[in-house]
Amino acid sequence: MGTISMFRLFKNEESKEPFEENLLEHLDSLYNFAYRLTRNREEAEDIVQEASLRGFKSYHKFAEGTNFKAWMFTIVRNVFINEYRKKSREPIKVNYEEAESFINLPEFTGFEEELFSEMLQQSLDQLPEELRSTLMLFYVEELPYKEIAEIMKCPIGTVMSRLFMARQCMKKNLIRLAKKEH
Amino acid sequence: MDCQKFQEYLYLFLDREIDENLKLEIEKHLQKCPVCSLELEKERNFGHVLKTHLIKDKAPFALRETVVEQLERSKRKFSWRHIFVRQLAPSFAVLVIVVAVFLNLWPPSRDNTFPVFSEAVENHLEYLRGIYPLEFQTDDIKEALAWFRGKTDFAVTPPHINLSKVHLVGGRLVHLKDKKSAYFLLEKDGYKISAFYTDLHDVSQPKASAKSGVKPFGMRLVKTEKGYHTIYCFHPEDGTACILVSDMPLEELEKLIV
Repeated sequence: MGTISMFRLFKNEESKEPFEENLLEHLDSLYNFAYRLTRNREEAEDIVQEASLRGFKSYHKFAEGTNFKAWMFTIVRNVFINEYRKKSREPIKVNYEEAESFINLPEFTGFEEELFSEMLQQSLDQLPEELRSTLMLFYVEELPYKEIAEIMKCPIGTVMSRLFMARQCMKKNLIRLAKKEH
Repeated sequence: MDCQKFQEYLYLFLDREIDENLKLEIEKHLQKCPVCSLELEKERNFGHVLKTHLIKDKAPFALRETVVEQLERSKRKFSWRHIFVRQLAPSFAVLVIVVAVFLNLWPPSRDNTFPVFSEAVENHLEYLRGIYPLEFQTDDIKEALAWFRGKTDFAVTPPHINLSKVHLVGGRLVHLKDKKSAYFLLEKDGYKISAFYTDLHDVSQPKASAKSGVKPFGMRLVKTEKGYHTIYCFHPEDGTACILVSDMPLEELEKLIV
């Protein structure tokens, strides 16, 4: 490596926000995402630790000016897919066609706040990983389609269709859960 | 924009992912269509419900601590590895290559690149062990020289030893420094003397050095190994060399040389 490229390397890394600062700022989001992926707190912690290390080691590849949070979400999801997906309790695939028929739904009223939140989490946990992640990234992390597509490594059109499916499935699950409660 | 088209763009509109022109068209449609407005409101509420009720768990404090500790450890480890792998390793690799090339090209100073002494001793021992049988047996030097005629690339002359004081036993062809050489076996007082006669004009000549154990011996060189003395005598005028090997005391051997 020549002197000039060495200089560039140092310059590049010095001009970025320190990795640690960036990471700690988004640690809650990363943990939350990992937890939604695994539905297991210990595994979520392990994933965040592993992803933090991987992020730190490849921080030189992170392009300054791009979304650090989205970049780390990608790493968290990669760790999940590569190491945890097989052993995670993946829900039975949702029948999308069936879900599509639930377009017109009654308004959600009359539930107690706490109970409703719990039911909502349960409904979310029943979604397949792709739908769950997409929904989380959109509603909880409020990321635009484009960034979700990058994290999920899929086209924007797929993000749109997954989001649509996730919404329908959530509605369907909620109705089912509400019926059970009553 | 009609109701069917609106359904198509509903979520893009809701999710603020729609382009400005379509947005204006949808807004116009919504102003005059209460059904689509209600549909939009319902979806918006649902989205709001998801946003507000999907709990964002906080990372446990222990995780925060573990991550910080882990990063500190990695930083220390990584900084050294990083410096080595990214900065030093390429330079180190170049250095290794340069040294390797240098060592290969540099003229060797070690005597073992010219192991004529060791080789001569080995040949002598192999004769003693019976590995190399003599190809001719005679005590007449003329007969011996006649036997070698045409078998070597150089003219074999009598070995540089006083033949009147030693007894010629015989000889054969051997290879010394990968060169076809004349080998004479001589005896004196029960000692066996091997005399090699060969053409070494194109081979770098050995030099006396403490490291290699090669010592000057008058106009010649001598080396003692495994209890055998090897005397090397080079003749620059024709490039031939005569090498004598024996376990006879060096002083006595010296007296025999002519």
